[in-house]
Amino acid sequence: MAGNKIKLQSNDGDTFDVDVEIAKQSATIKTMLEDLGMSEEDDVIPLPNVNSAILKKVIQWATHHKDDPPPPEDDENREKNLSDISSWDQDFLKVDQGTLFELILAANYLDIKGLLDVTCKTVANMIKGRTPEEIRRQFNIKNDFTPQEEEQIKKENEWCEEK
Amino acid sequence: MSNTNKSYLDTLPTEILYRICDGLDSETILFSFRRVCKRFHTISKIYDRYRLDLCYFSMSDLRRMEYLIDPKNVTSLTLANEDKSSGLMEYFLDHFSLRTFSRLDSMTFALHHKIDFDRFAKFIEQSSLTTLSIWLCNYSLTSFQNLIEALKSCRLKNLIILDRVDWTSLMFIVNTLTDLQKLVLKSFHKQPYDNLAESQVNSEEVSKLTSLSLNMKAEVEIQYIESILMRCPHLQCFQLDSSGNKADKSLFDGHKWENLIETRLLLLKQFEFHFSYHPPRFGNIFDVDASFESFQTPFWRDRKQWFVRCDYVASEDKKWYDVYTVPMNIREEFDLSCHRMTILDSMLPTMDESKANVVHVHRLTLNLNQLMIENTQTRTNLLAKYQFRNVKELVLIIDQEWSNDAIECLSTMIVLSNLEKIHLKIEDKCKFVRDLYTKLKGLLKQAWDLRSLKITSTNPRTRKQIIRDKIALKLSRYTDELDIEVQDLDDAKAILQNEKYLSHLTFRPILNDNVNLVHEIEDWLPHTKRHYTVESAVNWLCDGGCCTSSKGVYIWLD
Repeated sequence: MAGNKIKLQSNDGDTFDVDVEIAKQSATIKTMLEDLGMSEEDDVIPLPNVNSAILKKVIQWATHHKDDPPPPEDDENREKNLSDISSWDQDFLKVDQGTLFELILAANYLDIKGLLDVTCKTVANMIKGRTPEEIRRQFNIKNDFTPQEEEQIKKENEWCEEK
Repeated sequence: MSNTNKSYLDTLPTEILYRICDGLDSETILFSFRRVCKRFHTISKIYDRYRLDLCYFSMSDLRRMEYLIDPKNVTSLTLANEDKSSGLMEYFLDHFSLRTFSRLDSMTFALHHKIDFDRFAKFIEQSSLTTLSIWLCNYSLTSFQNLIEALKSCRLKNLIILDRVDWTSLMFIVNTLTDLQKLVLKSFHKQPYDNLAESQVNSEEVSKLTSLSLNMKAEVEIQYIESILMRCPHLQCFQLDSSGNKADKSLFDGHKWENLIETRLLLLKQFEFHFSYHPPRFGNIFDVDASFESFQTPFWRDRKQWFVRCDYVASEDKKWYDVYTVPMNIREEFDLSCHRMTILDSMLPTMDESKANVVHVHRLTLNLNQLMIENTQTRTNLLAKYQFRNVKELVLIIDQEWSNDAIECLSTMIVLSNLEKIHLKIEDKCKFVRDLYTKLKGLLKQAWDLRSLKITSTNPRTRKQIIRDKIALKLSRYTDELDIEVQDLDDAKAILQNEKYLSHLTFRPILNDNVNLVHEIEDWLPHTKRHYTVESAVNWLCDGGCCTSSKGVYIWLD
C-alpha cells in the first residue's frame, strides 16, 4: 500500500494529498479509514477543527516522523516527559504562541500522540523556573484571585514566600 | 496574526493542561503554576499524576506538602538519590503514612539499616506499585532477601536496583520474582563466593522477564551472564554495559553470543552492549580485530541488523578499546574528556559521515578547553561529531580558560535546560575564577532547571577566591543543592550567608581526614537559627574499578 495517497481537507477548504501511512499517525484518521470504511482513493476526509496553516504544519511534522517507532502507551513509559526534545522538533516549534497552542489542539483532535507530547513539553519548558507573575506575563493570563483568596494562598505559601 | 493580547494557555481543555503538568516537576506545579489563577489553582488540587521527587525539597516544603497535595493524587514518589543519606527517608516515614499514598505506581527509596524494614515490607505487600527503584545502603543480605520475598505478593512489573548487586543476589531475584517483566541493575558484579553450580535451581518455573539491563562494575565472565539468561527465555530486550570498567575478555566473542541467542533467546529483538577492553601492560594482548570480526557474521549484520563499533580511547594515564552496538542508547556515563577515535565500524559503508553520533547518556564528562580547541579544528570537531541526548548530569572540567562562547558551543551539543546536576571541576591556572559569578550566570541562564551544583578545585587559591573573596555564587532560587569544598568554618559560614535559598548543602573539608572541621560545622549550626538535620556524608568516586571516598557534612535545611 506504500505510496497510496489520501485527501485531507482543512476547515477553510484547502485539500492536501498525503501518504496514507503518514496520515495514519493520526489515530483519528486511522479510525476513519479502518473502522468507518472510508476509501483511501476517492473520499476527502474533512477536518473541521483544523485550519489550512496548522494542517500544513501537522503534515510537515508527521512526514518528518514517519519512520519513528510507535510511541509507548501512557502507563508504560511516563519517562518520555523527561527526555529531550529533538533539535528538529525544537526548530519546528519555534513559532508564535498562537500557532503553538493551535498545534496542541490539532494534535489532540487528530490524536497524534507524539506531536501532542512534544508540544505540551515545549509549553512545560516555558513554565519551568518561572514565578507565578512571570507565567502570567509570558502567557498573558489575568490574576483573577480576590484579595481574600490571595491572602489565603499567601498563607498556604508562607514557607515558600520566605524561601 | 496578532497574538499579543490573547491568552491561550488558560483556555486549554483540562486534559491538555494535565499533559503539560506531566512535563513539570511537582515544585513548579505547587509553587508557581498553582498560584497563577483560580483555574490553575483548582487543577493543581485535582491533578492526579503527581511525581514527587522529595530529594530536593526543603524540610518546610516537605512538612507542608501534606496540606497541598492529596496523597491519593501521587503516582510516583522519590525518597532517595545517590547522594542522600537516610535523613529524608526517616523523616518521611516518621511523618507520613505510606498507606495514604494509595495510587502509588512508582517509588524510589533507600533500603537502610535505620529504616523500619517490617513496616516498609508491609506497605510494599499491600501497595499498587508496578515500578520500584532501590538504593541499598548498609543492608544485610537477609534484609535484601526479605524485601524480594515481600515483593512477590505485589503486582510489581519493573525493578531497578541502583547499588551493588552480586550474581548470587541477581539469581535470587530472577528465581523468586518470576512475574517480573523488567529488571535493571545499575551496579552488577561478581563475588568470589558466587558459584555457578548454584544456578541449577530446582524450580521448573522460568522468569517472565522481557527486559534485562545490567551495568557491570567488575569483570563478569560470559558463563555467569549465560546462567542468568537461561532462566529468561522470554527476554526481548537485553542491555549489557561495562561503562568504563574493564569487561571480561569472554564477552568480546560474537560467535558465543550468536550461539547463545540462537539457542536460548529466541524472542530477543534488541541486544545492546558496551564493553571496555583495557590492554594489560604485560602478558597476552587481546586481538581486537579478530574479536570485531566475530560480530560481522550474517547473523549480526543481516538478520538482526545489530551493528558494532570499536573506539580507541586514550586518557592521560590509560588507554583502552570500547566495543559497542550503535546507536549508543544504554550508557550511564560517557567521558568525552579523553581522546576517542573510531577504528572499526560495521556500519561504515552505509554511514552518513556528516551525521553526528547521537548518544543517549545520563552523565557526561567534558573538558571545556579541549572542546573549544577541537572545535576550531575541523578534522576533529567534537561539536559536529556528537549530539548528546537526555543528559541529566554534566561534569565540566575546566583547566585553563572559560571563553565567552563556550556555553553557546556546549548548548549545540547537549540540551542544557534539561540538566539537573552540574559538577564544575576547576583545575590549576584558571584566571577566570575572578569572574566566576559572570561565567556561572551565563551557564545557569541556559541550565535554568538545574537543581544541584558541585564545585571542586585542585588549587587552594582558587577555592579561596570562590568561597571567601566575595565571589558570591548567587545561585538561582531554584537551585536547591550545593556541594562544595571548604577549608575552615569561616568558609562554611560565608556560603550559608550568601546562599540563603539552598535547602541541601554538603561541605567537604579540603583535607579529607579533617574530622574536626566536620564537628566544628556541626557545633556552629545551631547559631544559624534555622531548622536543620545534619549527618556525615560520604562520596564514593569510582574510576576503573578503584574507588576512593571523600567525607563531608551534609546539611538539610528548612
